[in-house]
Amino acid sequence: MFNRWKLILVLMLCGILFSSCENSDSQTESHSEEETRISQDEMPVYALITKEESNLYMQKMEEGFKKGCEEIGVTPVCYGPSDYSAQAQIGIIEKLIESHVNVIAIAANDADVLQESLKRAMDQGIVVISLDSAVNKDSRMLHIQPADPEKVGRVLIQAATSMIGNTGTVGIITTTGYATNQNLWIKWLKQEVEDYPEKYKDIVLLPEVYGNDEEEATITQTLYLLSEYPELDIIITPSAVSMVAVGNTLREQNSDVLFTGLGLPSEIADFIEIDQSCLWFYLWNPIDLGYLAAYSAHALDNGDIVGEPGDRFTAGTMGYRVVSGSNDGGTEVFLGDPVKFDESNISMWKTVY
Amino acid sequence: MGFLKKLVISYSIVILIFMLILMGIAYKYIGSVSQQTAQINQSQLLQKISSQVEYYLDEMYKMGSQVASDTRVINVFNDLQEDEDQANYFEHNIMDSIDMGSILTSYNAPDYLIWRISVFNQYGDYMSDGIDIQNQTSGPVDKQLVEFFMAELQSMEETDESGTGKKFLLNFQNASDDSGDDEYTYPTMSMLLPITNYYADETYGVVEIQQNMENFQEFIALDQLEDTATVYLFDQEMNQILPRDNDYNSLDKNQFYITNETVKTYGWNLALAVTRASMTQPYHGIWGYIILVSFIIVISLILAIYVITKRITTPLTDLSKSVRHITLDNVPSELVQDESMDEVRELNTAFTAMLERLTKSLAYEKRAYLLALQSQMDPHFLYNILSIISGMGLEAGNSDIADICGKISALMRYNASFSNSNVTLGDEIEHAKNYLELMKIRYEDYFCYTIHVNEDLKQMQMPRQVLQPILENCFEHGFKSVPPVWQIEISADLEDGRWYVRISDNGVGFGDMELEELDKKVEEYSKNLPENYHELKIGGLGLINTILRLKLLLGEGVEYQVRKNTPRGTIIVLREGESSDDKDTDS
Repeated sequence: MFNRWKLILVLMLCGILFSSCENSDSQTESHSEEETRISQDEMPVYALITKEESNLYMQKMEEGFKKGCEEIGVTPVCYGPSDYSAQAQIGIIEKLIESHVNVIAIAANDADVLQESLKRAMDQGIVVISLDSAVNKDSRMLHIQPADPEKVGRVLIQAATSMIGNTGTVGIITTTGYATNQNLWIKWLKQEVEDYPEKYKDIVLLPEVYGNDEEEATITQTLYLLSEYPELDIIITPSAVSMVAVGNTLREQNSDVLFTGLGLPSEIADFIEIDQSCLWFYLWNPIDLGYLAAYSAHALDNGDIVGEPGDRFTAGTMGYRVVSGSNDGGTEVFLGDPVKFDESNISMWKTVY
Repeated sequence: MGFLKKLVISYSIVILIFMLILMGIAYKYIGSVSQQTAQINQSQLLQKISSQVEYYLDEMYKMGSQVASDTRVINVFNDLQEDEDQANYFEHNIMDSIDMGSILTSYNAPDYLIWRISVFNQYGDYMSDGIDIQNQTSGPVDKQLVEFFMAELQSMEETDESGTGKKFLLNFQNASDDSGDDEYTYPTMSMLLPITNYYADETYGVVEIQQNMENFQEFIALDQLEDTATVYLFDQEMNQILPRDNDYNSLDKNQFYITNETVKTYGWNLALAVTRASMTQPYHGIWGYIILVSFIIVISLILAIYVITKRITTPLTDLSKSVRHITLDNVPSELVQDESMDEVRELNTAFTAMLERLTKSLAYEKRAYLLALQSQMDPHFLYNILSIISGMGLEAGNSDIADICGKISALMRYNASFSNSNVTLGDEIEHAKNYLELMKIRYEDYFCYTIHVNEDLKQMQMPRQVLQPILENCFEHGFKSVPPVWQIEISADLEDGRWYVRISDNGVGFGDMELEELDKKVEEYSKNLPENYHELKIGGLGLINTILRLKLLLGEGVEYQVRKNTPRGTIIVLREGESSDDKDTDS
């Protein structure tokens, strides 16, 4: 009889938790008493906090995270704030701490602001990792790096200049000034130009502008660049939201300016296949990123690794992975190189993510 | 041992032998069927695995061909032939590295059916995508090995030794990180294809399609085989590929049934080894069932036999006891009470009838004995009287009276003698002669007779008073309505080695109807002699009496014939039968 009631309770909890993954409107406010007991469930609960709930890239990451959790045999719960706010993410973290989840994996909206909450989570025995966009080294046990930031930054400027024949003006629309990963990529982008002045001698690199990962703000910044720099040849934008906004703005403006960056194939396919305003762009597989995060968290949760450089573990179908030191002094695991999407493969990739 | 036990044990042994033979046949049949079924199943299983291996290799080859024929790949590796620097080009050229990685990823996505795809050349340029054993751009490029691969592939291009039109090499190795930790060591199978510029007929590099052997084994479902079955996979040169921890050569071939199959396109060979014991394993349950059912059937049959046999033998035993206790003074009217079975009832009836006949025979025997005693008493008086008459005739000087009395006396003594029921033909002829002489005295010239007897037949045994009843018939019936002179002729001789006695007269003779009637009566009285015994007294049906008594003595050894004489009268022939002659001949 006890087991039957226990089973009913677990099913109810799972129903509530899965519905929260499907509909995250209730993210911070709707943690009920039942949810506070989720950690008492026999099945471990792994939580993923995304940057923003409606972001397609983040949703694909959720998809991979859930897939990994299902393979591992843990219960995934996914939350995301309604805006790119670090404060909203703190609220979610606090609730998850109360719920005694086993793992918190977060794509941070700010590298430092979340530190207090995440440290408290770790103090209570919760495994904390960041993915996609890292928190500082003290706020995490491990970061899941989608790609080597140096490679991403350097390839973005190499690709942009290649598209315009190594001569012309290059603009950059990024997200926010405190977005960890974007800042890192742009840092390496600029480093590439500095390292090879001869190669980029005919390139004018404009100062970056901020679209805050919001459509309206990005459109505004695009229009600003178009009007302020009529000689503009190409825009680099290392954000999925910005990529779509820039592409749509260029289309509406009938502009000959090209754009590239990091985007989702399903959103950018038309700009390659029809508009041809984007010749190619890059991105890693966000599904794989979420999947790798689930297995990395599991390795930490199980005690297979402690998050030190040289730790090794097997990440499901992705095979063997090694923990390495990161530039910020912490540790990280790489997903792999980004994929180049162009007219040869976009029709296949747009069906994937 | 009792009758019941003998029957039950005999039947039980028969049933057991029958069941054992039946089970033996069933064992052979089921064994044969099970082996055939297992062989068919194994053959089908191996064909399925062979198809899966072929499909798997086809997919690898297809993927390798796509990558190797991609112009972007060809162009990059063509350019890299100019760069003889041993450093990995892709490690230092980010955009080309990502380009190449994206090409490889895009071929493999979205299902990632290939474990790892790599492209490399002899100058250390290397790029891979898939499961990450090592860094994508720091693959295990062994210059000598790559040069060997390229030389082999180039050679294959020229000679096309594979004969399949597919140019590839297969390589089996363990992929591992630098630590060599077994946990992160993966046995792999690689298919190597040349990156070729067909127009220049040059090989610029190699595409390696690498699969984890565990994945391969899972795909062809080797891990789902029963423990009693093992599939061995060999390449074209019969080098064992799978399983890696079980050497085919160390297999005890007597313990296993082995089926072989070839993966046609690639020339690989498959051998399925199944323990012989396991081939009949599925039928063990059936055998248990058959043995149990057979045991129940045998026990049931033995019990049934016991019950039935007991039911049959009990009345027989009772009958046997009853018969054993029968005496002449105590003949029961019914032997057993149980008449539930037809056979017992028939037996009872037959025994009872036999006892009745026995009782009647005993009664006849008693009466005959009394009559004999009675007949021995009366003649003494007549003999004395005849002796007195004979003496008186002699005193009166009439010797004829004495002669007549002597003949009558001899006649009566012959008739009344019971000392021996059988006499010789000579005795009988002498007796007939006395009778005829008396008749001659009576009828004088109205009657005459002749007797001719073969001397060799005079000692022949025959019943008493065979001839007298026939002779009496002549006077009582034959001569009554015909004028004298009446003649009787008796002859006894051999004909064709068989004896015969013929009595002929010139009396009135038998009509056709009478002859038929005579035959019928002989047949009828022969069948039921005891009941008609009283009608056969001498002087009644004399001829029939004679024939029947001859039959009683000689059985089928005597034949009779009654026919008309010419111009009138009757001829009666008693003759030794043919069956008797046969018997004599046989003996």
